[in-house]
Amino acid sequence: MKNMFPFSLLIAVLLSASLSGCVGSMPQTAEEFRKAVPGAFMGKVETFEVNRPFNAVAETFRKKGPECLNKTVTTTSTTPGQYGPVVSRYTVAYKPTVLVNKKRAELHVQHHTDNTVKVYKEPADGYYLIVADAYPINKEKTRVDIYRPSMGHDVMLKAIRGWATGDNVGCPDLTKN
Amino acid sequence: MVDKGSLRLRITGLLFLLGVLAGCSGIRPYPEVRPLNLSIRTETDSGSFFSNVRASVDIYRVDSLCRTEYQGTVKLDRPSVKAGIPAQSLSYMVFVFSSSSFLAGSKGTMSHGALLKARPNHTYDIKVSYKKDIYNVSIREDGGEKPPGREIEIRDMDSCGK
Repeated sequence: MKNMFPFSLLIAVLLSASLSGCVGSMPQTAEEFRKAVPGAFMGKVETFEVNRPFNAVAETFRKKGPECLNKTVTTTSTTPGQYGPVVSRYTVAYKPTVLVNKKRAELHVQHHTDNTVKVYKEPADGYYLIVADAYPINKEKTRVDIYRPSMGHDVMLKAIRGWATGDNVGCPDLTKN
Repeated sequence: MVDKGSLRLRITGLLFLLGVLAGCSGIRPYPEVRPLNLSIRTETDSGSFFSNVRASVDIYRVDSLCRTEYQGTVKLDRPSVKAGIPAQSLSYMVFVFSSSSFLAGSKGTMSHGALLKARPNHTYDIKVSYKKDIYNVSIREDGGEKPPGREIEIRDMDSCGK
């Protein structure tokens, strides 16, 4: 029987489990998330440079983060069941936070999923999913560090990379996330 | 042998029923509002043969207390569509992208809202795109008497009255 549990939620659950594995709790702040991801089984830090001034990257984060990620998404999937079609429906509320100062621009993405068992304390606005930090290298270049699950959430990550490079400033279809 | 009169009656009854059901769905075509100050250009590409995406825009009237009243839906099923919203009053446009994947048996709908107070004697060029799971909506106001115009910031209902 086909596994009906959405793949991206499965990855988020596995990341959550790996982040909490040693200390029995989930990161409650973006900083805790940054510290936990490098050593997490399903976590990854992605680093790249863009040929764009820091202020431009920060401005794109500031503008597109709330516009594109402050969403509640309900996805419906239908799979064959033993006695007929089985309809699964789940709702995820995303919460973006953008913080900018002269040295760093931060984009935090939290998510809260309805109807799931919370084994560990969930931060207000949901578990941390992605934290992207931009740092100025020089007047024309910026470095971006993305703390993220090692698999899944490709659409959201593609959008965030596009915001950093300036090549594509569209919004991710979060129903595909 | 089928009685033609009876057949016509059945077809008429079926069409009437479908019409009633369509009305009950809550979605209605947006009426023609002159002048046609919106020019909406749409490009969609689901990125896969096994999925498809459709775009539309729901238009709401917004009152001084930021309450919305649904006016109708414009299907964005052609590369270019024209519509009109009243000038000097606030309208709320919700761009809806409905995607479905045949193989995965899943479907989803993403909405993107934009508040706009149209100015008299101005037109608005709206570009709507959906390509490989990334969508974009941009609104540009023409210059009217003072070209070249300006980009309109996309604001959601949360910003109404602020």
